[in-house]
Amino acid sequence: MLIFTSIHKATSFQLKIAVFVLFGCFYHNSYGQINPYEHIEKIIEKLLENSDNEFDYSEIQDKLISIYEQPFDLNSVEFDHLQELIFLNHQQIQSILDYRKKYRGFASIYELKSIAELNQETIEFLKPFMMVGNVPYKNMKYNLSDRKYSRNEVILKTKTVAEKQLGYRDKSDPDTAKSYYLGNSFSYYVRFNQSIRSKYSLGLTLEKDAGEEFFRGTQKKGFDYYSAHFFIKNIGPFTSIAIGDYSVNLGQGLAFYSGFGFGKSPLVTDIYKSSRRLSPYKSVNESNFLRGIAVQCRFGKIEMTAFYSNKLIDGTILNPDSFSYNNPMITSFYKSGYHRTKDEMEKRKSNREQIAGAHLIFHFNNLKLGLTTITGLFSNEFQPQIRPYQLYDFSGSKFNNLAFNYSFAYKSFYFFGEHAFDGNAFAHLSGTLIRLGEIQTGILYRNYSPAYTALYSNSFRESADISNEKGLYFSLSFSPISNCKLDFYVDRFHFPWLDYQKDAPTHGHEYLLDMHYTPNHRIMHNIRVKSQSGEKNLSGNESPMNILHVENKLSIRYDLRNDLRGPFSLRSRIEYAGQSNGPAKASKGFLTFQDISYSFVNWKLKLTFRYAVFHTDNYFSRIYAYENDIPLAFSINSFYGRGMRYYLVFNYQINSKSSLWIKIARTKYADRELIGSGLNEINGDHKTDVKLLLRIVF
Amino acid sequence: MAFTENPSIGVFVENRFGLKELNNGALAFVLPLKKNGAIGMGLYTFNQSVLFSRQKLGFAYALKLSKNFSSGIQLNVFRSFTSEYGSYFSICGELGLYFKINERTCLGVHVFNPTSGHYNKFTDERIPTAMQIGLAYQISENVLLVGEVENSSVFNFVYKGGLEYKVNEKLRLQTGVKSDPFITSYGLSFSGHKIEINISLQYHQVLDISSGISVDYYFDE
Repeated sequence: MLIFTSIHKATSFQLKIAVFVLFGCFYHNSYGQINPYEHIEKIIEKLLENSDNEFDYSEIQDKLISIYEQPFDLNSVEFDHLQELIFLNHQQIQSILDYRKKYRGFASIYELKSIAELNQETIEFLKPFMMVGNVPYKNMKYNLSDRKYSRNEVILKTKTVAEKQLGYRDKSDPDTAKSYYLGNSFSYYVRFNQSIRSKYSLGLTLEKDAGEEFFRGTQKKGFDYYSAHFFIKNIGPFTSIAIGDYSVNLGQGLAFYSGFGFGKSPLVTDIYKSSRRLSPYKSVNESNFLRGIAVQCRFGKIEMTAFYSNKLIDGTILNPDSFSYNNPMITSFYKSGYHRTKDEMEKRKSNREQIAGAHLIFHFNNLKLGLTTITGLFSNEFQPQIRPYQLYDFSGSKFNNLAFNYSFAYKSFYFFGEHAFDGNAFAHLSGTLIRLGEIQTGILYRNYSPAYTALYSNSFRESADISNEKGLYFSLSFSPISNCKLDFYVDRFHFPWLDYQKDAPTHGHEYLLDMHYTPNHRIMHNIRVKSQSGEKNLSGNESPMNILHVENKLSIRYDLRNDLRGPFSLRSRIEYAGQSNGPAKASKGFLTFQDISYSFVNWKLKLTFRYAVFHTDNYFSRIYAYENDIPLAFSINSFYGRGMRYYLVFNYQINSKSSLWIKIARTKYADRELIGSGLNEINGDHKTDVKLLLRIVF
Repeated sequence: MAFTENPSIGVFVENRFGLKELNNGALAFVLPLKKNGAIGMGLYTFNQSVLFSRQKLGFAYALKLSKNFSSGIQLNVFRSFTSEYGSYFSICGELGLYFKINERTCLGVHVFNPTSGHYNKFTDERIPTAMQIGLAYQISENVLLVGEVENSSVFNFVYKGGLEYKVNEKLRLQTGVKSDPFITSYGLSFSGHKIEINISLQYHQVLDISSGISVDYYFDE
């Protein structure tokens, strides 16, 4: 089909076709291409390996999976679609479209190699999401009954901890009477989704977390969390309509960004936010989404997004024993989504949140201007606890945000920024991406007032929220010699008001140097040095006044990957972490691990095994490591103390429609007989996680 | 071991710091099973004092998994004797893998006691878990550079580095350093037709000299 397509193209493409046919054969025969999850895991890992907090990354994975299984056509894909491939930055997307315009289309995906903006790794990431077809994307006619285009997906998932945690003790024991988990220690997850590329999606997601009751007691309706969505594109005057649960990302995220956004990552020049503005929500993060209706339409150069959301949210109630049922005061948001104990049940759906918003974008050649307005209303008033560092926390029952954002391309420069106002205080962000030959640089300045509040914001930052921060970030990415890539960033920041464990305004800086050396496509050496410095209360200080001291952290990592020709792939890592805080004793830690994965090609079975040993002086020198996992469950674990961690991930493709994943992981400590704290405490020296997932696509 | 072609037998003796109570010894035997890998057995003894002694009997199996990748496992039975508790037995495993990255570079990974058992039920003394990752790089035809780290659940993190110089086909000289405790070591290897002899000297800053010798003999097939 490909050859027919290209016959009426220029003859210069004939050579490219030959190249494509040749490489195409190799590509499909290669090992380890059992399922798209493997490929996507590599991408997400790249983005996350620097991350040191837990977040539900399944949203990103979902988006990528659906594109992988229904790839974009390079000859018709539009800017907005490419934005969904989060590993591509704005300039890279533009360069692909420019190339297509200049050479009147792609004859094969291997032509991507001739685009200077795309490096080897990016092309490897990108290839499976792209195809070269003959029907322009826009003109494709979809029919739900046509199996070629529609995709139905069912996912069943469960997980548990094998050891008995304190919260699951015998409930008749008088010690436990006060606090225990109401339900059993298993979590259940069910999802159904029907979609046609990114044009139409209908879905239902149900979840019960470990410890929550199921079809009895406090959870008469069964699952603790229900989510449903309907999403369709290009219907009537609308470019998109979302009903049910959806997520909205506007501008650079200072006013509104409910999806996932990366801040600092090893993709050092990926600082421009370019997510899809409106997308269906399928994930299980129980707080970070919208529920209601949203529409998008376009009139010539003006694009408009409008949405309304109305849902019950969790919140900690002030004096729950004495509150009047009409209008309880809320002290803080409760975002974990766990409703396992009586206390947690009291927080459940204790407040109604209504949000309405609109976003306008004006497109002029190289210039894009955006205007955002958001207004929100809670049924119960927030009255946060007044500790000095919480002075600017959200209070009251209303919020408003107004923001203006822009982006402008000029030659190899790309300027962008956003200025937001909440009725009281401002937040500013402006950045530039510059491409000088082989060198890419990014510069970003942000200034978020301590008083600025935007409850659904997510933008470039060092602290937890978009407020109380000023900083300048500079990054550089280039290849000094072939096979070698160097990424670097330095970020200086200042927090003008107090923060958690920071009893005065503080300063800090951070830098990262990341070097990749790939002597051939099967081997990759990676050395990463990350240094952080910031002021913090001295721990263990006994005087009534807290004293600030500079805390320095340094981590050095060596990572070696071998994708052997054949069924094996190996990975080894050695990591050092050091920490010092003023006169307190400096601490250090080490982590070593070895991964082995093996693909039984004939059996469609893949096993991934890791063995890790960690030895750190204390919690301050803990080390984070990304782990392979079953789909929709990403894990970044931190290790401290002395012990070992091992896991086995088992992935079996039962037939062309269904696949099964099992993960068994155990952490075993050599330095303690009690693990965890509170209701999660385990009496023993090991903790074993068991996870199971079945996915059926038809 | 997976790369061994002929059966072999080896003995090793070592004296630590000139104290006769700290004599260590080993006797090992390797038998290749043609295409099915190789099996081995070894007996090791540590510390021969009246107060404390320990022996280890190990059974090993190694398999070449591809052209340049092999791995091995070993099961050890420990017999420990202390004057206080008498003698008792414990079991632990060992895993290893060896990968030839290219013509010049090799990676080796070794895990001792992956499941972290105890020596006995009376005391809290755990058998240490240790993971070693090492890289060897052939700088030139005659010079080999090796580096290794060891991360243990009990002991401090250790770095090791070494250099081997091949004088000729029969004679090789080695020198190495190790951190924590800081030890420098020197070695000499002689390879004959069927025999290989290694002599080593280790110098500890405080505890002085340890010396060892090993002899391996390779049988005809």
